[in-house]
Amino acid sequence: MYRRILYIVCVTIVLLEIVLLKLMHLGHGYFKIEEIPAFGAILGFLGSLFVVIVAKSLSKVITKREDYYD
Amino acid sequence: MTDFIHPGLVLIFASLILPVIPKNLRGPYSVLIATLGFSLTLMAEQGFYGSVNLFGVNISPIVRVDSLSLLFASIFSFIGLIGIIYCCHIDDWIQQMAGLLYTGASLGVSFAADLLSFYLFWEMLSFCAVLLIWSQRTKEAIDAGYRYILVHIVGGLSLFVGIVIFIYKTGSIEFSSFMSYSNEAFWWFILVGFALCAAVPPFHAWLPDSYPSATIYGSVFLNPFTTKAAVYALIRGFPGAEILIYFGSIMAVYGVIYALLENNLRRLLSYHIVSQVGYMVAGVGLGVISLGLNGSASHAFNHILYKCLLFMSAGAVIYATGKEKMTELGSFAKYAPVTAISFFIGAFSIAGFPLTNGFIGKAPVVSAAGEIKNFFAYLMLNVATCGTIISIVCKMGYYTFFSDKKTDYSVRQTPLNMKIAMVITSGLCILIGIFPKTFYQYLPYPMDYEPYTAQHILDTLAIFGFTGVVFLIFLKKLKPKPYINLDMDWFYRKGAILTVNYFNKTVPSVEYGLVNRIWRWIIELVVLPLSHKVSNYERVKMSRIPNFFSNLAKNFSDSLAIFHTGRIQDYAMYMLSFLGLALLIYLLF
Repeated sequence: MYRRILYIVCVTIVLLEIVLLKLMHLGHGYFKIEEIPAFGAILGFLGSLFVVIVAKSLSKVITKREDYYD
Repeated sequence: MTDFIHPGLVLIFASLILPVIPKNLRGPYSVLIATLGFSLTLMAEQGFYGSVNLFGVNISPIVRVDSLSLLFASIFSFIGLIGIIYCCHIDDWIQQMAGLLYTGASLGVSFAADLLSFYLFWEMLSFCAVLLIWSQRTKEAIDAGYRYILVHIVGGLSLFVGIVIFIYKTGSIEFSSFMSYSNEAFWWFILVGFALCAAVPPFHAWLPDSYPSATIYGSVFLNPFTTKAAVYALIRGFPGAEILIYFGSIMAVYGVIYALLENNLRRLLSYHIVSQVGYMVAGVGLGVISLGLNGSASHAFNHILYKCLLFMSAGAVIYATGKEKMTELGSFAKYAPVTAISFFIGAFSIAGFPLTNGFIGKAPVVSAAGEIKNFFAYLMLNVATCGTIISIVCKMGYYTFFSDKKTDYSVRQTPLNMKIAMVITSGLCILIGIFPKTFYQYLPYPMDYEPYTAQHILDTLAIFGFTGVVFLIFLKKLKPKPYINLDMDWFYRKGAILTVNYFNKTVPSVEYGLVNRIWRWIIELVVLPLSHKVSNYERVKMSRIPNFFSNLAKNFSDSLAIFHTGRIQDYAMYMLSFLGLALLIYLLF
C-alpha cells in the first residue's frame, strides 16, 4: 500500500522533471551532467545506494559487540 | 561600555547565584535570566565597545558587534532559552547553571573582538560541556567526560600556540581573517584548533563519543554551542580556505555513513552533527564568493534550530521510555504524537525538504559549490543529503516511531515545558522555511538568492522519493542491530590500553634488569660500607659522652640511696639529729 504510493510519487516526479525542466526549460543546472533527463532522480537513487553500500561494507570491519570497550 | 551590556557576562554572573536560590524558584529564575540574555542580544547595536588594560598593554576594542556575530549570538541566546525551558522542571541546578554558563560563553565567543578574550570564552565552552556530560553521573559518562577534556585540551593548546605565535609575529591582537598569512605555522595551529572543535575528521570522534553520554537536557545544550562556535570562528578567521571544501564535503558523507549504522538514538543524531557541520565547513571553504559564507552562516543558524528539535524529541523518547536504542523501541508515535510530529518536522528539516528551514539553509552552500564549478563538493553534498534522508527520516523515524514494538516498554507522560520547547522550535523551523527572504536579510553579506526554483525543488523531491525507494529495497538489511561501531576514538581508547600494556611489559624488565642492578651495586659497594663505618665511629666515639653523664648520675643517686633505708626509725633519727644540730647552732651563736 505505502510502497505503491511511493512508486506513484516517484514516477510523477520523474515525469515532472522531464516535462518542466527539459521540455519547458524552467530550470538550469550548474554542470553539463545535470542536463541528463531526470538527473535528480538518478542522483537520489545512486547517491543513497552508494551510502548504503559503503556503510554496509564498512560495517564488516568496524561493527563490534556493545561490550567491546569494557 | 555605556550603551552596550554584554549579554554573555550577564548570563555568566547571573547563573553563578543559581545554587543559593530556593529550590522551587530555580527553574523560573533560569528562564528569566535566559530571556534577559536573549533580549539583550536582540537590543545590541552594531559597533565596537570596551577596552581593558592588561599588564600595561591596552586592549581595545574587546567587543565587536557586527551582522555576523549578531546572527550567531541571537541564535545562541535563543537556543539557550529553549534549552532552559526544556529543562526547567528538573531538580538539578548544576545542569541549569552549566546551560546558562554555556550560553554565556558562546555569546562571549561570538562577540569577542580580540584573541585573548576569545580564547578565554572558547575554553569556557569545554568546561561547561564537561559539566553537562558528568551530570549524567554514570561511569560511562564520567569516562566520556574525561576523554572529552583530554581531546579538547589538545585542541585548545594547538589554538593557544597558534594565537601566541600570531601575536608575537604580527603584534596584533585583533581577531579577524587569518587568510593573508595562509600556510604559516600558526595558521595551521589555529586551523587545527578550530577544526577540532568543529569535529572535522579525523578530530571528530569526541563528539559521537560524549554527546550520547550526557543527560537528555545536557545534549540539547551540547549540540548547538561548541561546533557552531567553531563554525563562527572559521567563518571569521578562514573565509575561502580551499582545504576546507574537501574536508567539509568528505565529513558530510562520512557522518551520514556512520549515522546509518548506528543503533543509539543520540549517537545517530551526533553523527548527523558531523555531517551537517560538514556543509558549513565546506561553505567556509567556498567563501571566496559571499554566497558560500552566507550559506555557512544560514546553515549554522537553521541547523541549530532543527538539531535541537531532534535532540529534544529524542530526549523526550528517552524520558518517556527509558530506552535509547532503536532495537528496544518502535511504535512510539501512538503514545506521544507531539514528540513524533516534532521529530518528523526536525527530520524533514535536516534532510532539507522544501518549506522547512533546512531547505533554505543549506541551499546557498550547495549553490555556491555549483557557482564555483567544484563538482566534487556539489556531488558529495548531494550524496550527504541522500544519506541524511535514509538514515534519519527513514531509518530512525521508521524504527523508532512506527515499526513493531521490540521490547515491552512502559511510557511516562512528557512534562508540559518539554512539549512547549519542542512546539516553539518546530514552529520556527516551518516559518523560516516558508519566508526565506525575511531570514536572508539578517545574513552577514547582502545577497540576492532564490532557493525556491523549479529545478531545485524538483531535484530535492526526486532525491527524497528515490532515497525512499532505496530504503524500501534495503528495509531488511538496514534493520538496527545491537552493536557499536568503531571510529577514530578507537586509537585513543584502545591505543591507551595497548600503550599501558606495552609499558607493563617493558618497564618492569628494564626496572629489574638495569635499574635494580645499579641500585644493588651502589648499595653493596657504597652505601653498606659507609654505614658500617658510621656506626663504628658512633659506637666508639660518640657514645662516650652520654655514658659519662649517665655514670655520673648513677654514682650520685647510688650515694644518695645510702640514706634511703625505708625504715621509719631511721627517718625519725635523721629528723631528731637535724633538730638537735639546729638547736646546737642556735645556742652556740
